[in-house]
Amino acid sequence: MADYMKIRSADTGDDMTIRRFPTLFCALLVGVAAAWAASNKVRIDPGPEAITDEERAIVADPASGIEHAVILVDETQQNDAYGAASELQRHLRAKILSNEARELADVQILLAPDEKLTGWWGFVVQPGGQVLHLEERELVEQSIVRVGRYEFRSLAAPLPGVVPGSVIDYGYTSKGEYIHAWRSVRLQRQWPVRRLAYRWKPSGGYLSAYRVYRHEGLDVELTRGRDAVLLVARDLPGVVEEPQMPPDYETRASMTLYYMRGGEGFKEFWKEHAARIDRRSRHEPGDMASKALAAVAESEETTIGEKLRAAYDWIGRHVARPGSDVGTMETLRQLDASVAMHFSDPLDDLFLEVARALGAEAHLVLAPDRRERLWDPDLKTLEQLPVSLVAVREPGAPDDAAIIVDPSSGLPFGQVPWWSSGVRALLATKDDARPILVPPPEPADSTTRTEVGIDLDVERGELTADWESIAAGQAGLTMAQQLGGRSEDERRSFCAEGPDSRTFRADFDVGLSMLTRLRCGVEIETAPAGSNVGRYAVGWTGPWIASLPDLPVGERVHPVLFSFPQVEFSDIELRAPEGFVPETPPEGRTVDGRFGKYKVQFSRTEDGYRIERALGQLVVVVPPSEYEALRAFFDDVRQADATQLTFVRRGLAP
Amino acid sequence: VRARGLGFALAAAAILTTATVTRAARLPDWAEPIALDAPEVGSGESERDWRVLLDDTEVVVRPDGRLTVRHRLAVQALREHPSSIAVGAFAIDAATEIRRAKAWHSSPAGAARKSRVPAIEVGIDPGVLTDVRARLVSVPGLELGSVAFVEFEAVESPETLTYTHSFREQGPMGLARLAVEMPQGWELRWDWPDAPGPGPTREGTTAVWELRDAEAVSEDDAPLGAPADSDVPLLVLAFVPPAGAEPDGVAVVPNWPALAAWYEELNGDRHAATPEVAAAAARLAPGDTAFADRVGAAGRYVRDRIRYVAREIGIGAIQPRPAPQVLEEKLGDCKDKATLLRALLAALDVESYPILIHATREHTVSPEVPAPGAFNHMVVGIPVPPDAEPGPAFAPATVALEDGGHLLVVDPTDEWASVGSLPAYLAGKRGLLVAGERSGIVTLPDGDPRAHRIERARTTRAGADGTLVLELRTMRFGEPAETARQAWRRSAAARRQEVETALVRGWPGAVLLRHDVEEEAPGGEFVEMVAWSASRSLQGTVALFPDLLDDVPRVRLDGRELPVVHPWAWSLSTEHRVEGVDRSVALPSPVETEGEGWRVATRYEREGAVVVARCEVELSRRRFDPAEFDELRGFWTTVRRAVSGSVAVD
Repeated sequence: MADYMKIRSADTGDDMTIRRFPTLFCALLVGVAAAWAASNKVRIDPGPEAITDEERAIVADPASGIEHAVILVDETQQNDAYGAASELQRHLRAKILSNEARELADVQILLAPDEKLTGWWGFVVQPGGQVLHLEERELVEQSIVRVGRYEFRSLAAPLPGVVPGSVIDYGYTSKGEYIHAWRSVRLQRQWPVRRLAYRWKPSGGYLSAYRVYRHEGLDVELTRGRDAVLLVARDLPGVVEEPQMPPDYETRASMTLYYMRGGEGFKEFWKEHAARIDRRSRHEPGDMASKALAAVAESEETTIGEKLRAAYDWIGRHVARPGSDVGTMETLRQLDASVAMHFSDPLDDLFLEVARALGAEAHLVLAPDRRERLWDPDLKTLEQLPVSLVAVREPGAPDDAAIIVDPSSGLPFGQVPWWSSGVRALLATKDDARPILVPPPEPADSTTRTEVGIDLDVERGELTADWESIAAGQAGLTMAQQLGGRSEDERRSFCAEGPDSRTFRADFDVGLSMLTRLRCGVEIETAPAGSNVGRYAVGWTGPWIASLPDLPVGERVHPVLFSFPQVEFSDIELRAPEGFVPETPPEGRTVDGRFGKYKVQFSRTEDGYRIERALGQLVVVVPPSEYEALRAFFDDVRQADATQLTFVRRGLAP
Repeated sequence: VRARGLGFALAAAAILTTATVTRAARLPDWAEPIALDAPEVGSGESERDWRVLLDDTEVVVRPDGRLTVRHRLAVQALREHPSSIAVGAFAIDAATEIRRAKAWHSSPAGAARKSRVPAIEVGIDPGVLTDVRARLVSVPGLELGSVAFVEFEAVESPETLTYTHSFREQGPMGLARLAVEMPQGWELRWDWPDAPGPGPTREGTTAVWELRDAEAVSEDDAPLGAPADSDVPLLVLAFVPPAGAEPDGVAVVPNWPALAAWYEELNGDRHAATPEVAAAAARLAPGDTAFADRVGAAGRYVRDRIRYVAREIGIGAIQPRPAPQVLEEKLGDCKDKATLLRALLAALDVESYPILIHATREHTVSPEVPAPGAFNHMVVGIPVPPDAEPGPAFAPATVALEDGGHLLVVDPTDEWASVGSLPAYLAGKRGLLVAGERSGIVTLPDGDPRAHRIERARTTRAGADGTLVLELRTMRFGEPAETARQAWRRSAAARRQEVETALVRGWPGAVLLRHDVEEEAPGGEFVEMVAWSASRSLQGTVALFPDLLDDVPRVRLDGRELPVVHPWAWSLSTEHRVEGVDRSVALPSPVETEGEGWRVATRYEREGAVVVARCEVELSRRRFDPAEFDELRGFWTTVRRAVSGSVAVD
C-alpha cells in the first residue's frame, strides 16, 4: 500500500512537508524517451460483452509463455488533480485458460478511510457466449483494519461463472481526499499482458516525478501531455521464476510515481544530505579512538595505509560488533557517547575518527543492498541506501584510490559484505555527494578449506566422517550468519541434515576477520557389503562438500546471479574398510570453463584414498546467452564428483 | 470452528507508541493478586518471549440462549525489549456484540497503568469473504518481568446451544480455566473428544475446568510431525434447558440426531434437483449409465468446474447456497459444492447425504456431546446400491456401515482427488452423517497402504549404438497422485523440465526420448511415462531400484523429541526388467522382512538374459513415538539395504 502524504518521512524523521509551487506539473522523466502530446487522456470503459475473434484465438501455449491466462487489457487512470481530491479508474480484462488462473476473477478493491467507490462494472463471458454480471451490491465490504472512526476496507467478491475459456472484465472508479506521496507500479506480472496503460495526472500544486525501470527490450511507450504522463505497454511477457535469478527490481518492468519534498534538484538533494551526513560524522576522538591510536602508535607501521589497516584490525580485536559474541571485548555500550548514530553505526564512526586522526581522508559511504534494489540518484530518498561503509585514502588521492571498508561487518580490511559490493554508492563529503563504485569481491577473498577423514564400516553399513571447514571472507561471513545464534541441535542439523545421519560433533566459532571454523563429526548409514562381495564401490562426497547450484535444463530467461565468487578446497582421506584394500585410483578430472575451474585428483595412500578437490566459482553474473555453458560446467563437476572409488577384499586384490 | 478466545503476541508497533499510551491506574480486582504473586524473572536469555500466568474464560448461559463470554488473560514478559507490546485478541462476527476490551500493565516495580492505546479491529483473512474479525487491545512498553492484563467481554448469539473451547495459547500456560454458569435447572453435557481430561468442579450452577502448566503450542508443523494443534486440549459442551424452557432463535441439540435434524432443517431443499440442475446432470451422464460412472461424472464436474471460494458471511458460514445458484455461479465453498453434487446425483437417481467433518484437526468429535464446532468441512456420503459394483477404484473411500450397507465418500472440494480416493486429511476422522433416521457418527477409513501408492514399471536394455535405453512408467494413486496432478496442472512445462534435469544429472549423456502424462486414468491414477537413452551407466552396473528410496518419507531422527507421524499409510512397488544380463552375473539375495506396521520384500528372477527385479515396500502404521524410533530406523535401514542391489550389464 502506498505511503500517504501525511505520514512521517523515514528519511529525516521530520514530518513530510510538501512545498506548493506556483507553477504546475513538473514531471521529470528519466529512462524512457517520452513523446509530447497536448492531451493524452484515456477513456476507460468496459470491454465488449462478447469474446472477440482475437480473444477466442488465444489458447494455452506453454512454450511461448502462455499457460494459464492472458491479461488482455490492464488500464489505470490516476488523477490526483480531481478538484481537491483524487480519482482512480481501473479496468482489467483477461482470458482464463485453466483452473489455475481463476483467481484472476477475485476482485478486491482496497479503500482507505477517505476513499469511496463511485463506479463499478464486472462480468464474465463464458466460452458459449453467456454473460454473467457481478453487481456493485454484491461486492462484500470487509474491514481490514479499524481504529476508532478510521477504517481501511476492502470490497471483494469473485466474478461468477468463470471456467477455462472465459473472458473476465471488470473496472471501477474510486475517489479519495488525499493523494499518495509515492506509488510503485508493477508493469509485469505472472501472466503475459497484451496491453497496459497507466496515466497519471499529478496534483498541480506539487513537484512530481516518475521513473520507469527494466523496460529495455519491451514495447513501452511514454507520452507526456500538458498535465499528465501516459505509459502504454504492449505484449509484456509474464515474469518467469527461475532459481538463482536476480531480485524483483531486476526482473520485471516497473514504474515509480512520486512527489518531491522540496524544490531543489536531484544534485542539490544529495549534496545537502551528504553535507549533513559528513557534518554528523565529525567528532573529537573519544577514549576508544584514543586507545586505538595509541595502539597504532606503538606498532611499527609507517605508511598511512599500514596504519589504517592496523587500526582497523585493532578495532576488530577490541570492540564487539553488534550481534557478535562479545567475549572479553568491550561492548558497544562502552563506546564514547560522542559517537554519532545518525547514518552510520558506532564502529563506522569510531573508524572514521581514528582514520582522520591518522591523517587519512575518511568519509562515510552509503550503499544499497543489492538484494533489494540499486541506488537511483533520480529518486530523492535515502531509504535506497541502508548500508553504511567507510572510504579511506591518503590525502589528495582520487576517489578510485579509496579503500572501502565495513568495520561493523567483521570482514578483513578492504572487504565489504557482498550484498553491498559491485554497486554504485554515495560518497558523502562536506562539499559534494559523489557516486563511488564499491568493488566486487575477488574469488580469492572468499575461500573455504575443508579437511575430511572418512572411515567405512561395510559390515554394519556405516560411514563415519570427521571434518573441519575454515571459511574466510564472504564465505566466512555467510557461514557465520547461517550458524551464529543457532542452537546446538540446529548446528548438528547444519553439519548433516539427512535422515540417515547422526551428528556427534558440531563445533563452531568465528575468529578475527570473519575466519569462521566449523568442525563436524557425523555417522551416516550406507549400504553394507555382503560377505560374498569382493569389491566395494563408494562415493566420496557428502555434507562436507557444498551442494552445487540448482540449474535446470532448458532455456534461461534471467541472468544467473550468485552472491559472490569463491573458491573451495577439499582434502579428503577415505580409509579402506576392514579387510579391504584400495584399487588403482581412477584418473583425476579437470574442468575449465569461462565461469569456473574444477580439479579433482585421486591418489592411493597406505590405507585408502586421498581426494583433493578444488572448485572455483569465479563470476557473479552469467547472462542467459551463456547459461548452457554454465550449466554444462556444473554438470561436468557433478559427474566428476560422482566418481566412485573401489576397494577390493584383501586376498582378492591382484 | 471459528477462532475464539484470546491470542497475543509481542510485536514492535510504532503506530501505537507515538503518543501517551498509558496512565496510572489501579489494576482490576482479578489482576491484583496475579501481579503481586507474579514470579520473578531472571535476566538470563529465555527461549520464549513470554509466559501465560492466567488464561481465564467465563461463559454465562442466559435463559434466552445467548452467551456472555468474558476472557481474561495475564502474560509475563520473559525478555527485555523496550518496544515490545502485548496484544490480546478476541474474535468477533455479526453474531457477537463486544461490550468490553481493556488492557493494563503492571511493571516489575509494581506500578500499574491502564493502556490508552485505542482498540483496533482487523480482518482475520483478507483472502476469505468473512465477517469474522478480531478486536485487539495492546499494552506497550513491556519490560523484563512486566505483566500485561487484557480483558474482553462479549455477548454471543449462537445458532445452537453448544460451545467449543480450545485451551490454546502460544506461550506456556500456568493456569488455564473455563467456567460455565447455567440457568437453574439446565443440564450441562461435556466431553474431551481428543484425550481424557479433568472433570469440572461445581459450585451451584457453575462448572469450572482447570488445566495447569500446559506446554506452549507450536506455531509450525514439524516435518513428518503431528499437526501443531493436535495436542491442544479441546472441550465440547452442550446446554440443555428443561422441557418447556427452550429459548427461541437457538437450537437445542442434546444429541447427535438432534444436531443432524437441525442441520437438515437449515439445509432445507437446497440440494433439490431443479430443472436446470437436472439438465446439467443429463449432459454429464445418460440415464442408463452405471452407478460408478454417474457418481464419477458428477463428482468430477463439481470438482473441476466449480471453483472453491470461501464465503462465510453471517448464516452463510454454515448454511449452503442453493444448488442452482452454485451451478450458475460456478463457485462455492465446501458445503456449496457438496450441495450441488447432491443435487446432480439426485437428478441422476443416486441417493446421497451430507457428512459434516473437520478437515484440519483430528479428534474433534465426541461420541456423546454434539457440537457444530467439531466440524469445519462438508463431504458427501453416497450409499452404494447392493447391486452396484463400483470396483476397486472406489474401495479406499468406502465406509462399511453398521447396518451392513456401504457408503462412498466424495470430497468435491479437493481439486486434485479422484472420485474413489479419500484425501488423507479425512482419513480416520469421525463425521456426522446427516441422513434422517440413519443419521449418526461415521468413521472414515484409514490405514490401508494400498490407498496411497506408487507403482513403477521399468525396463533397461541396450540400444543399437552401445547406449542404454530406459523406460519408466509410474502410476500414482491417492495422495501421491494428488501431489503429482497439482504440480502438473500448475505447470506442465516445469514438470517436463524437472524430469529432464533429473535425467541429465543422473545419467551421463542422457537424452529424453519421451515424456507423456495421463492426468487421471480410469482408476484415478496419475500416470507418467518417461523414456531416455544414456551412455553406459557408471562402472557398468545398473541399479535395480534407483529411485525407490526417494519416495520413502524420512526425517532426521537424531535429537528428535517429537513423534514421527506419517500423514497417510502408503506403499511402493517396482518391477524392473533389465535386458542383456549375463547368466554368470550374480543376483542380489531376496529380502522378505516385516516389522510392526511395515513390510519390505524383494524378488529376482531370470528370463533368459533378462533379469526381473521386484520390490514392495509397505507402511501401514502412521505414528512412531520417540521410544519407537528404533523400529522406524529398522524399517528405513531394511528398505535402504533392500533397494541397493545392482547388476552388471554387457
